[in-house]
Amino acid sequence: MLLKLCEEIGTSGFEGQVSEIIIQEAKKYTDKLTRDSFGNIYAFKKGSSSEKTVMVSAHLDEVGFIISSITNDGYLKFRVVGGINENVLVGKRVTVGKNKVKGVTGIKAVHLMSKDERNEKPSYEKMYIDIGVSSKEEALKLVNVGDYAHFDTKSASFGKNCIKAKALDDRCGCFIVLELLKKRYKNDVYFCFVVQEEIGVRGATVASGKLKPDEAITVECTTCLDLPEIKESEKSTSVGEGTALAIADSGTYYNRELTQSIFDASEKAQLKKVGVGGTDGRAFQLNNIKAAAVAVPARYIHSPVSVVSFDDIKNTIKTLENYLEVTDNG
Amino acid sequence: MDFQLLKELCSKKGVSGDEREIAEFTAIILEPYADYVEISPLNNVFAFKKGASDKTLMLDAHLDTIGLIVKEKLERGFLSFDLVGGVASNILPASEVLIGDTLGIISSKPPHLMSEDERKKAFDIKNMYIDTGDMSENIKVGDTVCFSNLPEIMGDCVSGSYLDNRAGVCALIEVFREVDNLPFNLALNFTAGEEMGFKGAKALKKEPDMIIAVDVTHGETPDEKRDMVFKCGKGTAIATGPNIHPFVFEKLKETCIKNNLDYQIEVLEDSTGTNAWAYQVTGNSVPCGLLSFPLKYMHTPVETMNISDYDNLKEILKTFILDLDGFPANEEVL
Repeated sequence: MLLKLCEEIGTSGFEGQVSEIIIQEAKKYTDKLTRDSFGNIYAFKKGSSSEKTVMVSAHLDEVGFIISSITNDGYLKFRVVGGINENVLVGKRVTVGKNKVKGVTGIKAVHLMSKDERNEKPSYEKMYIDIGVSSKEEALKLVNVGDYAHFDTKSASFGKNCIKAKALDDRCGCFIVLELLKKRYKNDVYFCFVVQEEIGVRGATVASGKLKPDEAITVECTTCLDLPEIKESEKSTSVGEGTALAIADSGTYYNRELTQSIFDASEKAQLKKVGVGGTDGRAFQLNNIKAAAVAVPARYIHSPVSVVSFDDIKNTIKTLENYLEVTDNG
Repeated sequence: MDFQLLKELCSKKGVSGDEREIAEFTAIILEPYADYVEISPLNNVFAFKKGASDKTLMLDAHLDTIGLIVKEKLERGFLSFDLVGGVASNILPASEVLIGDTLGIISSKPPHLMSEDERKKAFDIKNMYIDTGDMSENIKVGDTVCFSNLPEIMGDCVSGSYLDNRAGVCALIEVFREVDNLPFNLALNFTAGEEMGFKGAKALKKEPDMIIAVDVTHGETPDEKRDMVFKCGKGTAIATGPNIHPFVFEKLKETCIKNNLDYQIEVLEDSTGTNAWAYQVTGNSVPCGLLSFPLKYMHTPVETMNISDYDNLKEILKTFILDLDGFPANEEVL
């Protein structure tokens, strides 16, 4: 399921296709399932006590591209949706539009570059997507301006107990929320799948504002830089070291008590180094809701291929089950 | 285009210096069509088809590819590496590679953790590692590393790693399979070590009477339109210049004109950057011609060429061979 979720496409603003998979799966386990006009999905599970209402959410969207124009030679110019550094974008496979037309991101060959050009960071203005046609007319038969484009990466198991895929941020979170949805808990829980996190936590703003839960937990896939020769303080998180709990990032100072309770419920957790980035937690707080961010560490997020550990995923599911207190397996 | 064959050729490993796998594969493919096939200690593959005279036409394509090489094994399955051949480091971050059968990913820093300064700069290769997900037990220092994108059909094109020069190898195998009963001998030389200074071509054992090398040249892209690049889909680039024998160039051009085949002329004022440069000064000097596919994004995992250019080159070469009625000769002037 996780591999399938990652291979499906869903740039911010274009979450329809991935949300279909989620709906088909979620309806098997939910008391009440709704989707709002923005695209947010709400799956409600009644608890045995109504002492408090908890929202557990993951975002549906991924970083990607939108086609902005087509040249006379049939190349596609694009803009980036969400944060992607140009350095990971040269010489990669992509798909364009809902029919997943194959393309590649091109740049001229190293032989043709001047010395300065070789050392320069590639720039979006100079980049283009090549779909293998030679005129605008031919291109228009396959794609159109406004189509979204995505990295074309096959999901697969990788190394020891890991998987590699695109969009693990945050299909990994979606997968965990789907798994949690299978059980029943002490309190009422809204399991949500929200849109447009990558361009300013927009889906979560609407969803948490509508639900007004007592507490909201975002399930994320977070930054990780556990490479050789990186100082411990700069690693953010490490793969295989358990669920990452955020204390603070550039958007949010998370609720200390809530975060501590989740930490205490976990068998293996790591505190994420205080740093940059942000999550839907920011939207929760601005709606006056206690917020926490629970995450699986992922190497190379916002690139064509990222890596997570199965153990960290299992551990994160267990952590949240413990915190929410499972009362029934159905 | 025999796309299935091309795909198989691209899946065989052959980073310069480590061409055994691809050499053995091509030797087996050629065997049924040749009088004999040899693999040299350097991993050149030489196939020979006897004809009606002592003259020999040799076709050349290089077997080797660019890639990486493992420099050091580090903690938790990370590897440091060096480049083999002309690889641009700007295409490396977030690329998938194979070290033998082990999948690797080239590391990159997420934008969230970059400083303002880092965001504006190209990644430094010194900070890149191959991540194997802690699976490096069977990997040794010195193992070669290749890109993992097999060719796919994309619009009117084929796109993937190592069309340079497995497309050339594929076209020559197809031609070799399809021509018989010639008035001269036909040889194929698939060479090792081209990307590292035409090593395989320099080690040529049997001197033929003429050589046609088949390689890639640069295709036109929106960011490169100078006259050293060629429009994809407009036919084979036929090289001319001091590295190319005028007789061979004229014959190739004539073949195209007579048979209404598309071609473009590639002017190379110095080395052609291909095996032809080495062959020209082998032994008594061998007259060389050079046919090239226009290829976009050369030396990246997404090399892209038009299928029509492939078919066009194959057609030019086949017609040229079937029409060939003489070889340039040494003159006894006095």
